[in-house]
Amino acid sequence: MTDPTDRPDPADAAWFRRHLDPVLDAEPIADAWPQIAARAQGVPPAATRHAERRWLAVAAVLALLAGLAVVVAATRPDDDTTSLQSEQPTPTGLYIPKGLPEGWRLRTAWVAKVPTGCGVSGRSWQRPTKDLLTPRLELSYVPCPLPDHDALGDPGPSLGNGIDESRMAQLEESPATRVLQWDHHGTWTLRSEQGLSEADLVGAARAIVAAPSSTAPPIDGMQLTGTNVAPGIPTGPTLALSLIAPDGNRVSYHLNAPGEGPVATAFTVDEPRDVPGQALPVALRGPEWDGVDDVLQSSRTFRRGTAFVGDWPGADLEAPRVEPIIDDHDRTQPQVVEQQRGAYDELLVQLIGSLRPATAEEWHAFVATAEKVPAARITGAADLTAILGRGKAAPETTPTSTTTTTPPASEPSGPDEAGATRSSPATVTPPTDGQPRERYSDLTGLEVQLQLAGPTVQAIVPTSAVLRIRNTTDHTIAIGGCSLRSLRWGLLPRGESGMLEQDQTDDCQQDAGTRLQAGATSVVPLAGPTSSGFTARGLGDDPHGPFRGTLPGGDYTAIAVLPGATGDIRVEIPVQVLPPPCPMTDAESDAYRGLPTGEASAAIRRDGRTPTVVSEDGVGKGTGWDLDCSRVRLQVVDDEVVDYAFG
Amino acid sequence: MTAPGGSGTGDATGELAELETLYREQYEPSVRLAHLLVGDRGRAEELAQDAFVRIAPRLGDVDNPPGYLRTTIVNLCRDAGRRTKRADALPVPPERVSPAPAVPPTSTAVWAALQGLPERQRVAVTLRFYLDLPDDEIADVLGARPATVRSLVHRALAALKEVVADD
Repeated sequence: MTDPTDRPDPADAAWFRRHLDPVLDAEPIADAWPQIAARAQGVPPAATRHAERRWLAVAAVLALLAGLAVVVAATRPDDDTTSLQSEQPTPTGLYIPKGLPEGWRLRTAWVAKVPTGCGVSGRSWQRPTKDLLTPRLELSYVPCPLPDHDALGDPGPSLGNGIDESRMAQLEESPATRVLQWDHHGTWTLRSEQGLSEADLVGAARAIVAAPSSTAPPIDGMQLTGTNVAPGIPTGPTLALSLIAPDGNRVSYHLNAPGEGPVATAFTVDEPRDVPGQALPVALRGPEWDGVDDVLQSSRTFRRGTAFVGDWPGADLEAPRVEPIIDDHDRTQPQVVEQQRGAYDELLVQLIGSLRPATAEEWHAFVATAEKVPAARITGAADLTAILGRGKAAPETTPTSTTTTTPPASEPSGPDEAGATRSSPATVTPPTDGQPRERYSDLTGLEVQLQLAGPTVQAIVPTSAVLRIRNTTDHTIAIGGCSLRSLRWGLLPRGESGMLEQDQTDDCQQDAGTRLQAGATSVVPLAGPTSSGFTARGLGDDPHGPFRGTLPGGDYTAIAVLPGATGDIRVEIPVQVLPPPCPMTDAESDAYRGLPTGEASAAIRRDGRTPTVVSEDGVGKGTGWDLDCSRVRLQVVDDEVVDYAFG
Repeated sequence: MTAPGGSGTGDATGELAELETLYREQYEPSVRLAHLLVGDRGRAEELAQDAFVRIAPRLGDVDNPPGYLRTTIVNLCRDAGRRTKRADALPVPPERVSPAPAVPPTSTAVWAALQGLPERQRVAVTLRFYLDLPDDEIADVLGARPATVRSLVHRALAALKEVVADD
C-alpha cells in the first residue's frame, strides 16, 4: 500500500478501473440530448415513472438553485409541456386544491411556530408469557443528545454498523432492568426488563443498529406491542391549511419552506406512493410496515407517526394522517374517531391529489373563501416565504402576481426587528473605472439598507443580518442572480481600509434572480456557503475558505456590498466587536483542520486541551458552550475535522 | 427574467450548439462519473442531465467547460447524497446499490465497498483513479488541502482493496 504522503501508484488506477468498469458498462447509456436541450430552453422536466428518482433530482437542483428563479415547475402528465417556453415563473411555494368535488371548503389557514423540544420516538416489544413477569424491551430515540447522557453507566460494547461506542447501566433500584445507550444522529436508549440477560440486550441493540427503521422484533419470539414514531420536527414555521370535506371531516395539509419540513429520523422510512391525480412525488413517511399488524397500524400512536410528505418545488408538503381538531386558539389537537379512519385516509389522499401550485392571485382568491379569516400576512402574501417570514420575499406593498426570490432553505430568516440596527439607505455608486460589468444587473433606482440583529458582533454566535432592498421607482426592477449571489459582506476595523470578507459566492445564474415591483422591498439574508451573518473571525485569502482566528474586540464597521452592472451599492453600520472569551490565533485556527478525528484529538490532548466533537456530518450534538477555553469544539465530516473553535 | 439558454434567439442557438458539442463529448463520461459517486444508474443519468442544464447559461463564461461540468456533477452528486443521508440515519446497506448479477463478483464487491465509503473518500478516490485528477484539483473540488486528499485516497483505496483479498 502506498504511503499517504506519496502520490498513489499508477497501478492503483488500473486496478480501480478494472474492477469498476464492468459495473459501469453493464447498462448502456441512453441518449438524453432531447431532454437536456428542452430543459436548457426552459421546459421543466416532466414527471417520470421513477417518481422517487425525480424527487431526489429536483431536490438536488433546488438545493443548489434555491434563491434563484429555478426552472422547475410542477406538471401534470396531461399538461402540454412540449412547447418551449421562454420564461418560467419562480415557484410561489403555495399549493391549493383544484378540482375537488363540490362540498369541500376551506376552514382556515394559520402559521404554526416551530415546536420546541427534540421529539421522542419509541417502540416496545414483549415476549408472550403466562408468567407474571413479562420479558420486555423498550427503545426510545431522540434526534439530539440527552443533556446528561455522559452520566449513564459504564462503557458498553461495540454495536456494529459504525457504532463503536455505547454506554451500559444496570439500575440499582431495579436490578432486572438494564439500559444500553448509544449515539447516532441523536441518542438511542434500549431498556430491558424482566428475564432478559445482558447478552439479550446487546443482541437486541445490534439488531436495531443494523436496521433502525425496522419494526421486526430485535429478539426472536418477542412481539411489537407499542410504537410512537414522530415523523419529524419541522425546522421552521409551518403554514397549515384546514379544509372541511363534504362529510364534515376536517382534513389538513401543511407547507414548509423547502428543507424545513419535518425531517426524517432514523425511525422512519419514506415509501413512495402513487396518489391519483398528483404528478409531484408523494411518500408515506413512517416506520416500516412489515411486521405491524392492522390493529397496531390503525392505532392512534402509530398513525400519529405517519404522514404523507412531498419535497415539492418551493415547499415541503406534510399531510398528517391524524386530522387536527382546531381549538379556539388555533392550536391543533390530534384526535381520531375510530370508525372514521379509513374514510379519513381516502379524504386525505383525495386532497393531496388535488393540490396544484398556485399563483399569488389564485392564492388570494382561495384564502378569501376561508370560513375563519386567516391573518392578513397569509391572505395578502405573494408566496410561501412571505407568509413564513423565511427570507426575502416580503413585499411591503400590496402584493401582485409578480413573485420575488425564494431564498435557499438553509438561509436564516432576517433578524428580529426588536433590537435590530439599520444602516442609512444607500444607492448605487459608479465604479471607479466606469466600465459596465456584463454579468450584473443595473441597480439604479434601488435603495438598500443593512440591518443587523444587534449592534455587537462576537466570535461565537454569528450576528444575523439582512439587506433590505427597496425599489424606489414606478416600475419593476429585475435583479439578476449574479448580483444577488455575489453579495459580499464583512467587518472592517474602524479607520482602516479594505474589508475582512465574511463570505461571498461567485456561483451565480446570469438570468435568474428576483423581480422587485415598484415600491416593494425585498429582504435578502446575508448567508452563504461558509457563513451566515457577521462573526468576529477573520478569513484567509480564500473567501470560501475556513475562518481564521478571532478578531480583537473594538470598534468595527459592518459592510455589505451588492454588485451591479454600472456600480455597487455599499452599506455600512458601526458595530462593536466583543473581546473574544477564548481568543484563537490564525495559526491555532489551522492546527487541527483536515486531520482525522483521532489524530486531531491526540494532537489536541498533546497541546493540553480537551477535544469535544460537537457535530458529526453536519448533525449537531447539542453541546453547549461552557467557555472553558481549553475545550476544542470539533466539527467533523467523514471522520475529518473541518472546523473548530475554543470554548 | 429569461430562462436558461440565453436572452436572445441568436444567443440561445449558439449556446445550445455549444451545449450539444459538450454533450456529445462528455455525457457518457459524466453519467459514469455520477454513477460511481451515487451508486445508482438512474439517479446518475438524472444528475448528469441536471448538470448540463445547470451549466448551459454559463458556457460562454467559463474557460474549461469540461472541468466546470465535472465540478458541477460532483457537487450535485454530493448534494444528492446529503439529501439521501438526511433520510437515512445509518449508512445505506451495500445491497441497495449492488450492480447487475452479470458483473464479476469481485467487481460487485469493490462496487459495494466504494458505495459504502464516506462521501469524501468516495469522491477523492474516484476523481483520483477514474479521472486521474491531481491532488490539488481534487482538493479544489472537495474544499480540502492536498494532504487531506492524499489521506482520503489512501484510506479509500485501503478499504476497497480489503474486499478483494487475493488481488
